[in-house]
Amino acid sequence: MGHHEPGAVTTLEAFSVVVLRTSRTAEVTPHVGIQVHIFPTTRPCVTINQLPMSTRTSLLTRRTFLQGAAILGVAPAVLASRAFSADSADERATPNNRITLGHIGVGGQGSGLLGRFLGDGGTQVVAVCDVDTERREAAKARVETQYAEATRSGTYKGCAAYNDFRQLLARDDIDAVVIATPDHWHAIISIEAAKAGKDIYCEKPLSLTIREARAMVEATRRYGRVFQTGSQQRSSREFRFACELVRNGYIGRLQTIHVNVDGPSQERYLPEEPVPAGLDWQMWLGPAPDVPFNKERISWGGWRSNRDYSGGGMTDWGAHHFDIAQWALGMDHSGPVSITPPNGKEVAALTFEYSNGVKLFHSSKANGADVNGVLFTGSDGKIDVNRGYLKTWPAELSQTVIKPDEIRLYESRDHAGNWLSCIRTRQKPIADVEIGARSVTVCHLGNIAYWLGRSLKWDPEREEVIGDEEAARWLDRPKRAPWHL
Amino acid sequence: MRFALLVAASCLLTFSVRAQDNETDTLLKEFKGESTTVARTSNELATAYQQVLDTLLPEMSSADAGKQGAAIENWQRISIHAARPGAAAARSAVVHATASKLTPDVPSTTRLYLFKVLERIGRAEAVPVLTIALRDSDPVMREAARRALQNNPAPEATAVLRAALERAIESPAVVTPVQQAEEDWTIGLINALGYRRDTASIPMLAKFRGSGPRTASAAIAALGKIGGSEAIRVLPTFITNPDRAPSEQTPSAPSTQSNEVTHAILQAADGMARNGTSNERAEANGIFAYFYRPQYPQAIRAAALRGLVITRGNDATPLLFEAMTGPNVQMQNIAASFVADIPGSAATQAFAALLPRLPDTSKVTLLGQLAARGDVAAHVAVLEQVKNQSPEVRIAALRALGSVGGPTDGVLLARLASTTRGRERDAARESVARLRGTTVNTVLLQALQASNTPAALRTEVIRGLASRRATAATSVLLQTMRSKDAPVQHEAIAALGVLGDEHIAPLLVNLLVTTASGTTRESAAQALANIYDRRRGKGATSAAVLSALRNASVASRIQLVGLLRHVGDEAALQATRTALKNSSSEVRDAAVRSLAEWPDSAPLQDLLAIARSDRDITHRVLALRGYVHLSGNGEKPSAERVQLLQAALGAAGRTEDKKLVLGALGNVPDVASLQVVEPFLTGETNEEAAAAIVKIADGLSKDNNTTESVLATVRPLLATVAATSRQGDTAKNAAQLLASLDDQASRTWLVCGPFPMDTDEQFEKAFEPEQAIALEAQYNTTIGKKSYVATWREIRAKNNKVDLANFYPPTSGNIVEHAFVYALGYIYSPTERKVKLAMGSDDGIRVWMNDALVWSNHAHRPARMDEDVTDATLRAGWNKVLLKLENNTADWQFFFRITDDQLRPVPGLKLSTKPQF
Repeated sequence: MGHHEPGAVTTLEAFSVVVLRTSRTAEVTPHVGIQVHIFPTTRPCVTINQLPMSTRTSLLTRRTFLQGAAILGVAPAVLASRAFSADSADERATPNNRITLGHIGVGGQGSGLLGRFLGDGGTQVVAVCDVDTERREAAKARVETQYAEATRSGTYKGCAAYNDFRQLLARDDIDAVVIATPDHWHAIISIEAAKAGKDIYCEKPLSLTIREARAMVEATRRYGRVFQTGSQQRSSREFRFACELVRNGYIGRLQTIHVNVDGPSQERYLPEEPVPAGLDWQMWLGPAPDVPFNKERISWGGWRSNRDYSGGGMTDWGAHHFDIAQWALGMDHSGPVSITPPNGKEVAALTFEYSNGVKLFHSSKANGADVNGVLFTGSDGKIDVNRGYLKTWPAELSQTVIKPDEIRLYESRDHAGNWLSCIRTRQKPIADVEIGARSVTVCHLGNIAYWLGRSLKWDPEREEVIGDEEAARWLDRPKRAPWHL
Repeated sequence: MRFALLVAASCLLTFSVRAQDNETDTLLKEFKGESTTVARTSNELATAYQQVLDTLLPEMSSADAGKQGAAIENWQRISIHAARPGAAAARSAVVHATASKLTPDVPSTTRLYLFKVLERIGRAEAVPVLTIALRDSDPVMREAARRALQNNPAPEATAVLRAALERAIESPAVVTPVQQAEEDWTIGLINALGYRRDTASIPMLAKFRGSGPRTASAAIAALGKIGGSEAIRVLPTFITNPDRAPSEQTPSAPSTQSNEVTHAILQAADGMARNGTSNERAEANGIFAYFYRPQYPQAIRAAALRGLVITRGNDATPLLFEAMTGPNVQMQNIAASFVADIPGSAATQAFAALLPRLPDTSKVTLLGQLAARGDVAAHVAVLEQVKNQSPEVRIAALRALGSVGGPTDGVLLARLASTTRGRERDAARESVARLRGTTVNTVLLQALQASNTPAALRTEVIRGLASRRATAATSVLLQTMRSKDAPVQHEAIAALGVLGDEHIAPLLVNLLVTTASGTTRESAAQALANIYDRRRGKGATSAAVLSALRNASVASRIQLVGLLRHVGDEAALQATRTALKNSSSEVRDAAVRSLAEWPDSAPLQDLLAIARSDRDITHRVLALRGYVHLSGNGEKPSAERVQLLQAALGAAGRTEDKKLVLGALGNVPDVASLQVVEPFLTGETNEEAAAAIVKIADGLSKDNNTTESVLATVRPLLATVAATSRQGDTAKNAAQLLASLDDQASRTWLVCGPFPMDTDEQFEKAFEPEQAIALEAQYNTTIGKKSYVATWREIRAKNNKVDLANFYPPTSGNIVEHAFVYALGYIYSPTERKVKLAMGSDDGIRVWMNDALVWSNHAHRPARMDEDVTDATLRAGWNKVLLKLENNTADWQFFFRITDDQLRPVPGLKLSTKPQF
């Protein structure tokens, strides 16, 4: 039943909040007295005490879940939740302080992440969620089979499977979630997860739009969550080292960066096909426009190249390589000031310009030579870096040892492990949400410049387009009801 | 006569249509920004855009996906170009033209695309037509109009959305599953007003407190987004559901909403705390204080606490302390993490002062936060925690010390490293390396020289100096390397290997040959190896080693010979050759091993000789392995590598050795290596040969320059492997590779060029290949100042993409720019069939199918697969496809696929580069 406490009003209008403004500080203590009073101006009084003190999270109650679980025959494993024990400074987990995880999206990348966390002694996967029944059930079976191998009885039935992520988030025995859905879902699920008090590992690219990325940062900060963006190149030695070389001036004054990734997504016009059995198509679409099913939309390459769901290669590999460019530039809390698309004439490649004069090009070639991944060119040398690849000019740069008084960047050797460690210590992870947001913003700005075919001026402080109101309308896009941020 | 008149009239009509088509084409180019903009009045603009849209509209509804996509894409590009800054009249004209077509006679799918245009560029002038569309009986149209209004910056759009919501309130949806769509409509309007942060909607949104939970949730969220005092006043009223009798209320709805209300209030308060007036900040502060009370769920308390940190700044320190020492472990940690939100040295000191009073969990988190701040103001407090009882706290303190420590902490950390183990010792060592300031090195060096420093500490101090790359320590270390204490001596020698250069090499060599200790000798050799590896070719010579070799004992000689490969100069090679003849078998063994790991391929022939004829089988095997390894060194042409490996096969006595060489041949993607490997497909080496053939073929298939004649050699070999291999995936991989060789995705094209593009108009100029195909012809062309002889050459696609960037030698580092090439291919279809041509190009592309122009797009863009789609007919038998590819500047690539309606590759086609007519 609802919380109808004594004195509850039965009319609607004329409430006001009055803050007893004595002075700003210590007079207002959170534990003593109520400083916020709500009372009707003309009607019987009600106070904000009517707000219930439920420990339930925003969408479903734990009781509801447990009832549901009982109905579904799910026997939630007896797992100690909340992993913040005294030995939290490192990965010394015991069965009593394992971090309980829910995986949302268990397709290609999600399946890989599931394998990573299933193999981690510090975590316990207790739920999976996918709108594709076959994938969902396969993931559940995989979890239960793997955990069963570690039990004496050889059986284990402790992994729930959900079609709707809201049911997973409503469980208060889940500490953290791993989100690996297509991009158009990232923001909504992440923000709801933060509100539900979960820590978050969200695949890159962080968001579908620039405004979504900022909303994700705000929610993460508001609820004090640990958020790792899945741009795992930050946890690779070669990229960190390359960025340290650049930051410490080993190639002299940085002049240009070339990033070799594929281009933007496009609008796709696809005919209707029957929805496959077991796929919740409406839930797959979620906030995206309501369109008929076509299997290309849900195939990896298909949704990646479709503007309704993703920013294409620019945000896919771009979320890795532009991210590394931002790291080397020291622009993790900033971004470019102008973006110019190629025009077939004097501008050969999409060009980002930063306030320090460095130009960042989206191009597979630099002066006719191939760019492997990210090529940094300075006044005294060059560095080309990619996964498992580092080439420097001069060659001996690759033997450099960064000294104590030089800039040393955040070091993580295991992206997922870094997240788990930070969940325990409440530090910011290597690819904190702000970093993910800033990097994906670079990718999105590139896409907008490509799509519009004109230069943009960008204020990275305010995150606003300057002097082009119509371009500013591409910073976000409407969502289909009932979804919103 | 009558017939003649009819023909004349028909010709006139055709001419007139063509003239109009040409005019529209010109407008199309101009409006997409591909040609110069012509000055026009508003009326002229309206007429011109209308004319273009009139032309495109029928194609937008075409059943042909290619035509439809192209027309939509064209209008989209036009609308985007019209919405550029400073072109208000053009934008308005496009909006009016678009709006004029939102009539019931236009198919609904087409109208959806038009709505999308309005969503992106419509302003006040789009509102009337969207207002009408909001009442459309088709929910899909209504939704498209709602989206367009949500994204429309004009205030009129807000007013229309508000009015639509009013109507929805007047006739609320009865919530049943069937009518969920109606409820979603209301929710969509609520979301739109929330998105637009429309404060005038607040009273209306308040009315949804009596609605079903989904609608009420949307209204709550919208109010949270709109924010401000008024929204905050309204939000609590959603907690109860006064419009319904208690019996009608579902058990979960009110409580679910109450949480949502709380989140919304916190969001609104956040906005006031960040951007509000001082009064609003005070109001936000009160709200945060209220929700921080312990009765609330942790997530809400966390948000409230952070709000208090924002509103109070430094004054929130006591609150954080209270939380960090409170009973709730999760809140302890969260509070500690908010330390990062209060900047400044005073805050650092305040938080550091809290450390002694915190529970261990919070200590660990706060130490991490203090480390991240890197503020020396925390130094003393962190130092205190190094002595904590809890190992986790000690480790966190040791790590933090690396960031906030002072000059003397290097020795302290070294001492701790000398008395601890495991993670604690690792943390101490890492922090020694990270401590900032050159004084740290000075203090460490003093400790090293002090007579009363215990040996264990000296060892750690030396390690620390090495990890800090303290080259100033070298001279002291040269004395320490003679220490009587074995661990100290070992550490000093190792440190010299890290810090030293060729100048200290003679001293280390001297130690190596004079020491009686085998351990010391090995340490010295390892340190020298490190120095020579680092300094090879940069000043290091073999002089010191060669000098020592003259009178060295056997034990020393073995180490010295082993060092020769690390120096790697000519004298070192000669000395190693001499050592091959040494009377000591151990020295000879060291020489063979040194040669086998030589840094370059200089000793290849020495190794081959040993592999062929040495009496010692171990030496023969070592030499062969070394030879095979060195044959792949550097950037030798593949023909040379094949030759070297062929010689190795001759020297390989045992089957295992042959297998080793076959494996190496697999890494040389050259037709010559195929020929060397082929004879080994029978006998004991058959599987290794098969695997090598698949690997070579794979490499060749990925090479754009592999010719059809090479593929003719590859195909039968792959077929043999597919049929005969019995191991692992070799047969399967061979079969797959064989199939892919004839797949469109990796097809071979004949390419001829470059031809000059001096002006944009030359995009339509017919160069010679357009007039007739003459595969043996040569055309003299000039691009800029450089002359070319254009001939037909093969290039292979990779994953459907053909990269032309390096097809012609770059000039001054730049690829050929402002140029065209022609690409030619032949396709066999068993039957006549309708197909799609799916293309992408950087930059422009023209396509002829059986000599008829079927596609032309003068675009400036990066290449993206399937960006252009058009239809074509393949006739039964062979078809000729000719492409003209333009490059303006930089990248030069294209995609070309023949697909069905669903853009799937058409099966059963045969591909060829040979003319089939």
